[in-house]
Amino acid sequence: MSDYLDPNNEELLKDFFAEAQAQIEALEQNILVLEQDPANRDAIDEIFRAAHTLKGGAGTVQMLELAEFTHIVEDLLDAIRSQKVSANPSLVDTLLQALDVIKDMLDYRVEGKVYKKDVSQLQSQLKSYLAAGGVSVPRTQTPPSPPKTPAKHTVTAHNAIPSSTGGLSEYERMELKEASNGKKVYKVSVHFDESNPMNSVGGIQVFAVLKELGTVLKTHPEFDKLYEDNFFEVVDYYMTVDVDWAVLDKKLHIGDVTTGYEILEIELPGAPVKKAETKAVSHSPAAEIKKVPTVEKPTSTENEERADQEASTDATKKSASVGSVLRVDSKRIDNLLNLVSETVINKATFNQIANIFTEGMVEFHAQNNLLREGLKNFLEKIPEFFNQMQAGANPKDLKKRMNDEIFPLMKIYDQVESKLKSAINNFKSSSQNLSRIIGELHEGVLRIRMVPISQIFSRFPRLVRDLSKTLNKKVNLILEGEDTELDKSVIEDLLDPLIHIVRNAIDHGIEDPEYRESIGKDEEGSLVMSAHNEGNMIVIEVYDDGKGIDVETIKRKAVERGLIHPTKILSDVEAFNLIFEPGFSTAKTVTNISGRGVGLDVVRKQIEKLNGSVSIWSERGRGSRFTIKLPLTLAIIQGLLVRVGKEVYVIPITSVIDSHRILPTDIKIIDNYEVFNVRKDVISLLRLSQLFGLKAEEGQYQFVVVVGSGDRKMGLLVDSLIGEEDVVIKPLKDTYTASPGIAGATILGDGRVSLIIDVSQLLDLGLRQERAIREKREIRVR
Amino acid sequence: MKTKSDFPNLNERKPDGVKDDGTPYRVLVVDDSVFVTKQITQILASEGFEVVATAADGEEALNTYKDKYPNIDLVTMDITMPKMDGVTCLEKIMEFDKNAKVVMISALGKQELVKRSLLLGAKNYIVKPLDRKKVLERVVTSLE
Repeated sequence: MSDYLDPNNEELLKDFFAEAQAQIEALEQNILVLEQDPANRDAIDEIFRAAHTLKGGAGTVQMLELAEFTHIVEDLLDAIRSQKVSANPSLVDTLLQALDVIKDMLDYRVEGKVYKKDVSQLQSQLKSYLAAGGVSVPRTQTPPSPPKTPAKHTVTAHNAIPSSTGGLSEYERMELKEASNGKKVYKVSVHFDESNPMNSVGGIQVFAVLKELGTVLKTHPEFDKLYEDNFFEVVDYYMTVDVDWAVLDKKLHIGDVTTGYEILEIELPGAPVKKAETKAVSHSPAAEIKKVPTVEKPTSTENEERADQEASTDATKKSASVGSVLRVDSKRIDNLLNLVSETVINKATFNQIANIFTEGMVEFHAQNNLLREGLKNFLEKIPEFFNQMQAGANPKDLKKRMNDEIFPLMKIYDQVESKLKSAINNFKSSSQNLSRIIGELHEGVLRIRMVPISQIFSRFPRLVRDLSKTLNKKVNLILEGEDTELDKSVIEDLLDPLIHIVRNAIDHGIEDPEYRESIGKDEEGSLVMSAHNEGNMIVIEVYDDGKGIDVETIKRKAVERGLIHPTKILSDVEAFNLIFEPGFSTAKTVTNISGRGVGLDVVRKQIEKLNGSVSIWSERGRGSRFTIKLPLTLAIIQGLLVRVGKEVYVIPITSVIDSHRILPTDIKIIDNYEVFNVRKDVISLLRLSQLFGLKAEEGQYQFVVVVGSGDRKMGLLVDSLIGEEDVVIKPLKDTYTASPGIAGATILGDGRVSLIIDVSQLLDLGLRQERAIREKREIRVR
Repeated sequence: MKTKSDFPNLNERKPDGVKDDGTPYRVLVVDDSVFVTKQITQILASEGFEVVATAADGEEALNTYKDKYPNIDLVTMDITMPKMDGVTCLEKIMEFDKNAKVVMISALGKQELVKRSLLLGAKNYIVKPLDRKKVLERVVTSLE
């Protein structure tokens, strides 16, 4: 391989893995498209391009097992592309299997290992499709056709131009890359007619034609050789093309001079493109193209193994330091820089204001001294005034003289005052400005971590396909709002819950095609996954048009499992939410996919860990809908500040339903529980002061903050409400995380530390207590 | 008198020398040999081209081209001529009008000059001795 692409280069590896991931996603998506529409050319081309890019990339970082395997896949894809093999369902299955192997190979590499499993069976399966399709690799030759008929020139579309290294050395390709100015470089191999009386002119004639259509970067044989009086049967022109292929095709057809040509896209180093086989466009038997392999393979398997081992140890060394990479739109960074420069300007303003204040202070001191002196003078004059008064001077006159003495002293601060006033105004506006900038800065930094939800949505088409195939159901997956952005850390933790929900929907929700048809529904069930913003929340919905949730079954199950008391009357919503309880599964039989009892409770836990909530709504026979609400980011939440004793606590506003001011007499006792009535609801109360062991203040009123998620509600009794504020969550160190009901801590504006309440934990706590007490009582009753 | 309607031409075809608007392409034929000039003129006229001028050397050709500009659609240019050779003349014409369409007429053995001409902007070349079909074919492709 080349010496300037170090396969152990960390950056390169990172890029490779990121890119490979993208290619795999593209492959998967398009293979699925192909399954639906086997004739979809775009999908085929895209699959091709992705596989080829992947192969090229793998070669560059010397992941030979990957490159080799992908190569076989690519051969098959090429056959599909040239319509020698049709994309039937079993072929699609095989392709998907192959894709899984590719994924595994990549995963191994990410961990610094080399995939060693035997893939020969799959390989031969892949090859068998090629054989069945009557395709030999490499290329079969295009049958010769008589010259001079432009119609025989196949006009190829841009995206169908095959590519390879074109037999050029790495260095030559580097040169081409430099010269091409970022454009694609094509190798146009033109065949010349030797019977032309001036056959040595052709090379130059074509050169003159081509230089009108693009930039000819290089010829083979070289230009000087062409200019000499020699005939060359084939001349290769390496060039960028600025016109349509149709124009090129027409111009390249010069009577008596050319007999045919082929176009090949040159893979430039660093930018692997498209595919590695040539497509001959010719009207002469002279056009026989050999495939140029892009990946150099060691000659013996022994070598290969050694190379793999070497790569493996190297990769192991590196993998530890390969962290997770976040790709950020450079515009976002620019925006941040912009804001930072604004804060710098703002800082300058503050400095200026500080100077004005200092000056004001100095001035104030000076004036103050003047005032003291004036007062002293005045006081000294007082005996004189007395004397004059006693001597019988006119009091009016005297008063006027005294006034004259004092008046300048009264005005002594005016100047300083106005100066300070303007400084204060300036300070206020600058501070407003600063808070605006900080707000934007905050948002900007958060946006850096935002990634589109398509990152996880994109995995579902495959999942749904596989699932529906195993379960013999027909499901049409619709994705909506894939551009909706979410914090990266949230997105990573969201995948499993979503998979769970989707599995549930397909397994339990959507009915068998026959059944659907018999009740007049479309044979194909539809499953929609959508995401959108709602204020500072993200709402993700998964809904299907299946059979919905049977409330009665749920109630029965819940009673059976001891989750609810048989006499308890449940609303539908309450019943639906029971399925989120641990150990709940309504599936009649345990299938491989879902129904193992570990289920939706995990989903709820996970979502609540993300400060989100999940709820479900269903209509029997019409389908069910899961709604997940998540905060935009984990780091900052809107909180309701409440005071308990001397401490301030923060309750995440997302779980606050409402708040009430109550008199101590409004609290009733039922079953040893403190409860209070809100309209028609009875809500049990939890005294935070008791929970956290604080001494509560005995005020005239008390405040209840009603918190909850779904149907679970609870009132938290606090001393007073302070207000709403954005708080930054600081996670607590391990030693303190054991404290129940605390999600984290935050620092308030005045520097005090305040604890953030974990509502879902409190609810669990309350529920557990309730259940424990009920069980105790039931035992007693027996 | 026979009229068109009596013998309708079943394969009616627009002659190559006529533009879409029905007017003929206007050609300047440059050659020091009167024989070749006439030959080219005849061949072109047979397909409806109109030879609007002829020139016997490069200087005359250049002046004629400038005089008649932009009323010349195509130039056929002999390479070996007195006073100013065809390649120099081509160069000058291209300098004057970079969209000029010039077809070189060359004898065998002048490959090097033909190559130079092509690089200078000549659209095509015709090798003597002239063959009607080839002349027309190359002139037509040069006009595209």
